Amino acid sequence: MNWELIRLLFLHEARMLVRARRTVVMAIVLPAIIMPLMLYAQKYSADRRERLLTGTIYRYAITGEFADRVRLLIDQTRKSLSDAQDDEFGRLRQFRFVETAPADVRASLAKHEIQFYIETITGGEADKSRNEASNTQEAEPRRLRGVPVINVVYSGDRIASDVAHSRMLELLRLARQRDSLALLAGRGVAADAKDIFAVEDANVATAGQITGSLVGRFLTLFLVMMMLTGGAVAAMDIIAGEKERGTLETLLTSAAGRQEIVAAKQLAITSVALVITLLQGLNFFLYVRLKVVALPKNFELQLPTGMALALLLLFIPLAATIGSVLLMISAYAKTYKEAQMYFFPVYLISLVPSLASVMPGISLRSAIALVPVANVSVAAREILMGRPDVMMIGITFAVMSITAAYLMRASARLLSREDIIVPAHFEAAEFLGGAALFQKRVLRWFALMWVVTFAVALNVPVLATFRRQLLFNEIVVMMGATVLILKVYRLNPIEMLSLRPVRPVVWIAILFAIPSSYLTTLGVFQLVNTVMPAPQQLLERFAEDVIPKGMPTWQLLLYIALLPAVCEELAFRGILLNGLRRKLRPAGLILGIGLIFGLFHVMLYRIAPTAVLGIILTAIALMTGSVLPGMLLHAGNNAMGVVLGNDLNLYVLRWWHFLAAFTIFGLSLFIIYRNRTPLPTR
Amino acid sequence: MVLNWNDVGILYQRELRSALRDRTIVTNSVLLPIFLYPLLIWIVYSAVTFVSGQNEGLKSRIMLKDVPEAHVRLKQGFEKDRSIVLGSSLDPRDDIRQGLLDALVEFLPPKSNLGIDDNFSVRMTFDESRDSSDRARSRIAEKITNYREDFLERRAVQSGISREQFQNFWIDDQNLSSNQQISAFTIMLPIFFIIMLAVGAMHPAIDSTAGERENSTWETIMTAATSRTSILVAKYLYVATMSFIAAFLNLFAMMVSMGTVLAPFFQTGRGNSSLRIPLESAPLVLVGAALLALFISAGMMILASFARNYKEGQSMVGPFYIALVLPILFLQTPDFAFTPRLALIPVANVVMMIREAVQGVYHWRSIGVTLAVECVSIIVAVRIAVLIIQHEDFAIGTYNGSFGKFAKEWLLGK
Amino acid sequence: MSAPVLVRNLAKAFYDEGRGEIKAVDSISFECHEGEIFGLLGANGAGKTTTLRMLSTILAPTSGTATIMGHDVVHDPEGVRKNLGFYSATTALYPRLTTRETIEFFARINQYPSKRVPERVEYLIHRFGLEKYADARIEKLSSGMKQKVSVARTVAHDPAILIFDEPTVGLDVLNALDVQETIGELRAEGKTIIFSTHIMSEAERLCDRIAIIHGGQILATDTLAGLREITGQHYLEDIFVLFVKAGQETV
Repeated sequence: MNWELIRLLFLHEARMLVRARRTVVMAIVLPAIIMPLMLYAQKYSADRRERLLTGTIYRYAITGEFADRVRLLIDQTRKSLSDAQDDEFGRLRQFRFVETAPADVRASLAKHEIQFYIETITGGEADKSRNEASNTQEAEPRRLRGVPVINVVYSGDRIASDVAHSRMLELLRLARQRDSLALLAGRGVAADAKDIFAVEDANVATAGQITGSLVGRFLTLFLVMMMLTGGAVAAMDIIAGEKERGTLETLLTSAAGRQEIVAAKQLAITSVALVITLLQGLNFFLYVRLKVVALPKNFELQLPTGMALALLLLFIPLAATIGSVLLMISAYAKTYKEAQMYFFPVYLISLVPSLASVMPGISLRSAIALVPVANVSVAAREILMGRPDVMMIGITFAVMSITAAYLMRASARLLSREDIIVPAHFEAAEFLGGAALFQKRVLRWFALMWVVTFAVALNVPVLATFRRQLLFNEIVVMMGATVLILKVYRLNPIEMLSLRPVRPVVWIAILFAIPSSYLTTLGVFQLVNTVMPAPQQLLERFAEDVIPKGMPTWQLLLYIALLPAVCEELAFRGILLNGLRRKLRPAGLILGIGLIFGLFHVMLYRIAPTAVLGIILTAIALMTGSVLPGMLLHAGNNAMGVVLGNDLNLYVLRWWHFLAAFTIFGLSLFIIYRNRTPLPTR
Repeated sequence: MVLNWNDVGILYQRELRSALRDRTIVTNSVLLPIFLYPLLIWIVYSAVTFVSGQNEGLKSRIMLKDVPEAHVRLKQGFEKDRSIVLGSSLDPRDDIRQGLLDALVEFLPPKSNLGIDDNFSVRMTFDESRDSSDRARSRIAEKITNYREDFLERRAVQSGISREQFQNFWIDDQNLSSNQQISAFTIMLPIFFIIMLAVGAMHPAIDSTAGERENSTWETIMTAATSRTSILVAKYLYVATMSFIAAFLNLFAMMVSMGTVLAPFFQTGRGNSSLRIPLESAPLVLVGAALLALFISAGMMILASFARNYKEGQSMVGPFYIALVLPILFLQTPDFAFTPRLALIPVANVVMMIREAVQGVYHWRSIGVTLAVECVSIIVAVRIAVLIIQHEDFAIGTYNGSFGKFAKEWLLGK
Repeated sequence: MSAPVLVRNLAKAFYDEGRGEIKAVDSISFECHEGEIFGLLGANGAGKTTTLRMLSTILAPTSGTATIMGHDVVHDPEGVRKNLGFYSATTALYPRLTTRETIEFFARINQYPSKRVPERVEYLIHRFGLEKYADARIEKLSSGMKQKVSVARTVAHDPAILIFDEPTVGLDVLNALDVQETIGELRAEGKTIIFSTHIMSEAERLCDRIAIIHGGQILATDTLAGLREITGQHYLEDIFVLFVKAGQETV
């Protein structure tokens, strides 16, 4: 590293950036103007919404046998509310509604003349209709027999109706509570509900801490967004733009090394990102002062100098990391246009780790400190809350610096890659067709298959049943695409589907691997579930769809075990594996195909376990050079799911069960590895 | 200015064919509309359920202090709850500040007796800036509320009031609309729609003007034996087509994915609240989309045609894109009335029209005004474009890619 | 002292997904003497540009060695580039820099002693007749002027070796002549120059020695007179065609 050269190059880059007027406008000026505008729009619509909801006089009607009693109750409650001055029911007091008496309430609601109507039903009637529809899900408080019902009927697609109905519900609940307590009052308990077992809050957090916690939740996300959008304009120009203009080649023939060139460019982008950060910070505080932004009550941001410096200390490597990511895109792309195309997906992915502080209950004193960007997001929030954890902040800083340095080296390596600096010499695959073209297109085929699986299979009513959907997915999509690909690119089926015999001992190892791999994947699922617990309700809902009740076991085995094992193995471990084999290294292949396999089993909570299975199957296919052992394992694994399925209570299994399974599984993989017969590479 | 529709057809086909072979255009006008928003929504909902799952899973560490003898039941309630861990501490307040304890519940003598012998009051100490502490507080509050209701009911039964009487009446609600989610959806829809129309038009607009300059195909095509008008009309139609395709695909993808990928998330509570746009609104939605596509394409092409290369084209069109999207943010308010006056504002009026149509509301007078206004704005935009291309200097590509320079010279009469 | 440019069995292969290995340059060897213009003559795709890119360390050779002023292109690329000025139709200039800034930037980046940079810049501006345009941005210059600035930036750090890769491509007759003249002058100043072209007349006029390159291989290296003697042809065009045909027959 020659620092004198880096300084010279950096000044050069900075001068070029400043002179590109449009870049400056797009990267710095525009975001500075847009942000307040957006905030203002947000405030405007929030204010307007509030005014609308409080200003509107809602109309409603009451029908049914004891309408008079309800009317009286509502009137009484509203009167007592307007007499009392406590804040608790302020919202209800502001809420104005007027009763009307249309001839047909339902038609009137449909015509927007009223926002909702109250239907009163006597206890007897309600008992009768309840028997007809007794599948109400609410479990805990139950309506007792003979108790009359007040039903608030509204139209949920209209906000006014929805809001009015929920306010009315609130009012009615209050009315009921007061009315019931009045009964008790006659028997010696003269109480207001809120005086019985009164609860009083003692908050130990200062207003500054609460504000810090609120601001800290979104600060990093916001900054990362700004740095990415602003930095991108500069970054796209700085390498991809130079390639396009031809100045990169000029620079590469100068005495400056690639490391130095990249370092200077990196510094330039980082400076842009930092300038944006500072500008947006100033901008934000200015607008807070000018009250363009709607602030919550007791908003009080405290940021002593020490804390501000700590924040800055974290944001510098953050800016450097983002700069490196942008630089990599720019270095990879051949033209400005291409760089822009890559930018968007990278942008979305980069935002994900900065969401860590939005998650509840994550503390920096955990593994999160090792996750780049996510650690800054959590650390920034803790600093703003006035609880900096000096050691962990140090670790965060170190992790971020290492990440930035690593990414920078990766960009420098990219600039040394010849196919990237020098435009492609030959694009021969297009002319040759056949196998060469197949390798280029195989991912597109799978993307298409993915779309078909989800767009068609789940939306066409004919395919709605379990059996038809499976038949469609496996036979039409998987097998169909496999056959089509073989035909279109004139491939040799035996070779492309890896239909090769393997050593006999492999089969024995697979037999051992079936139960052990099943338990291992279950263990992974359990582990995932403890790290990120899924709501139980949701899991059950997903599980319902998978295995239909009342189907004979042999049919389940056919549909769930045999069919997917054959079709999916041919598609994933046959076609996809052979298509990507020459492009990726084994580790990349195993992970990539595993993940794609997982994506085909879409629900979020199933991706992880199926991806693990996919990884195992791909590894076996690579080691044996054949799809056949994988087919057996896949079928066996699914069959175990069918047979054990609901009977196996996971809570019975302890960690040593999983450990034993894992060991056996590892051993069988080892046996397969020792007896490997891989396909020749290249 | 002769317009030969046969030539326009040939040119239009050429534009479309090369567009579908361009990776950037295919990505932005076809793939992005199909995948982006469904994917985003899926991610957001997954994240929301993930967060709520995590919330459920986290245990609250609570310390109870001086629970009165008469209320052992309440204490038992705390002990039985799997999401609560009871603990004790020597300095609970400090532990709460340190995050070692989530909340302290102190039982104090009541402020007044009110005829209830065992009344008490509670002081709850917590730290609002900590998520876990804040959650512990709401869990405790809920527990006490439930206990209070339970207590009062038992008390009522003791004093001879039946449970039915004490329950008084049962409050229920019923939603007549099967389509509840659509109200939130229709507020977002116009923004998605405009963004997609603009994104769909942007790259084709730049590619067919500035891009052609950069590849030097601009002169090749200008020397072809057809009128300049035919060439530009073909380009214009092509850009509008791409814009329309992007918006249409996006809408389609949303409907499809809402019904499947997101269905499990929406099926909460009663009723089948699937997201379906009513079929009778389709003509109006499509007409609106077509008009917007024509308007946006005209605007973008005017700006992009000044640029000398792709990048310049982009920085010229960028502000126009933002100018399109920003006003829509102001329309985000629900129940914004679609008055004929609002119908006078281009773009915003179509957005309102589509939103209402999707909700099944048709204000025919406003719709009429909207269609008229939109047609007029398209004609004005096209007229401006025609005026611009009549300039010799423009065809050669002077003005250094600056719209401002052109406008200055033009307005000051050269 | 050994020759300033020494190339031994230099080869470059690209890997292509469909076709496998493609040999763009197939084991070539040559050397240049101090103060001569060495011409690489070949058709498009013969391997000229790939060879020169390897010499300027933009591409790394698959096998073989090359040294520039004693610096190895693989092991000491920085040293190579310090002693080298590389000019080609694809090495563009920064449009938003002025002429003076451009020359100064390249003098500094190529580590010309910083005390003497201002003097050098003034000299080059004068040398190429750029006084009037010294403070205008490159984007405003005509293509002929850009050409001059480009040459000026190539020699900004006063390198001993200059590589001109098809410098006259896309230039009009007058500008092309200008460039040719400049190259001749640079030789007179004692520079060693490698010059690639597919235009026979240029090679005839400028080069001291000519290497005929085809299909990644050098078919012949000699002075023009020497080539005429071997083949018995007078015009370089005929000589070139003869060698290429003979080369194809042996393949």
